[in-house]
Amino acid sequence: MNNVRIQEEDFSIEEETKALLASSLRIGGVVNFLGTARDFSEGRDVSTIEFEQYAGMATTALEALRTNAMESFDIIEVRIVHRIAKVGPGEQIVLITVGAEHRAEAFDACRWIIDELKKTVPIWKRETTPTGEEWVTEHP
Amino acid sequence: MIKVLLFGTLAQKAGRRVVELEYEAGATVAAVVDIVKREYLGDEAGIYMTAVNEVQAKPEEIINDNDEIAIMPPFSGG
Repeated sequence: MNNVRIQEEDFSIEEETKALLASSLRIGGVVNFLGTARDFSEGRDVSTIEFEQYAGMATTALEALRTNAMESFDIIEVRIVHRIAKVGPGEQIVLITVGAEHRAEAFDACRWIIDELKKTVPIWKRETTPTGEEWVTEHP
Repeated sequence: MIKVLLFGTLAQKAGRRVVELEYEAGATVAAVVDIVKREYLGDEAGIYMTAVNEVQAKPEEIINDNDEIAIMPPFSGG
């Protein structure tokens, strides 16, 4: 499995974590960020979320993000998986898995990666609400 | 011809995902954006990033015939 992927199908946190650990025996701490679909957003119910990407740029941007993180933090390995699919509340959307010798750098890198992902990777989400479908234009 | 790709809210506003424009020698990314705003999006389009052939591009970048220009709203992945 590539360590950076955009895919329709669901992913396994356990498999991604195992793949990360298999990359180095020097990893002493793993931090996972899992983004999931909520059933409520901006004051209204959300029944489904659908994702769109600019395929030509999105994977490249994710790979650049991983490279930047590896260069900027004292970490050993990073894996990123983002789904482009129609998902319901509670379903998995994105997983960032960071392995480092120590926990502090793994936490810092994981937080940085998800924050940067939202700014640098051309992916958009559209929520289905009781009043219709709406593109999400800003994401905290 | 130039192929312009629109995404998310911008595609919704334009009522289409792809716009094809005649190529004009020396045209910039900004000039393409202006045409698309004038004809499809309006002034308050909410554009976050542009790209030429899948690489982020500045407004002053000169485009070539058969380029693919992407006009993108703010990202909302994750």
